[in-house]
Amino acid sequence: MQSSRVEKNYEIACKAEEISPLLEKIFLELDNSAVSAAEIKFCLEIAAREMLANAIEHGYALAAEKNGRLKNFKIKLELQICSEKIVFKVKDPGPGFDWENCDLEIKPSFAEKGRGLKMINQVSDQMKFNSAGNKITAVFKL
Amino acid sequence: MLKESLKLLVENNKAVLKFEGEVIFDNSNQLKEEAKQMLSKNEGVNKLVIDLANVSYLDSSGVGLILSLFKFMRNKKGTLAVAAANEKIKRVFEVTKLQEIIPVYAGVEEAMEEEPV
Repeated sequence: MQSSRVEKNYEIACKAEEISPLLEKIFLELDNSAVSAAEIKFCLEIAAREMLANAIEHGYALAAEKNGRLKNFKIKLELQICSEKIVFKVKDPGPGFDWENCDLEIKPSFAEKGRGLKMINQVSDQMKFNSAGNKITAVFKL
Repeated sequence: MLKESLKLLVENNKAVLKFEGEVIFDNSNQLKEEAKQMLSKNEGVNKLVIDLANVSYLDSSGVGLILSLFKFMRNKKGTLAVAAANEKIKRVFEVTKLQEIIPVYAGVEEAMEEEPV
């Protein structure tokens, strides 16, 4: 690692087309920090895309339902890179959800929904939420 | 809505459904409905291969779309396979255990030639 610690904050509109450009910025940070493991990037991308999809599809949708779609809702993100780990946090504008009662086991299933959190949990080393359930943190050990 | 497109290439009772771009939460429902409409107009198709060669990413909702089409084909006594996924998408299949339900092939030709199990 060339730099010992990177801390970046981002903010995006609640739109799907903002995800790919954001991921490009994040990968640039990883490259600049000499995080080169393809495996970590694979896992971070899978988790980040599911975290952002949930933030838009559920967090934003619930916030917009309550407060109206015209309000300028944002998703806030934090990226921390140090020599031992990458920490990625996503906070959505919604009221949160009951994360304590989620089943996180992945089984082969014909269900068409309900895989996002399981995937984040599977590819990260640690997944945690704030008490409200509108901020998710994924940790990847280096 | 993100840019995406969908093509159904039919030959006798076999068909290839080609997706392009990203298949993610923002477009997967619409793609699913369009695909089912196309398949409904081609009732004789009983073997469907989903060609992902031009898909850059597919998220958990894309997995849901594939499972929905799998059930659609199964209801008409047909089969479904997936082909030509890139490394990222293969990883999504691995994490979600999709390949334990649906056959995943390296290429479309291989998937078309394979007899259903």
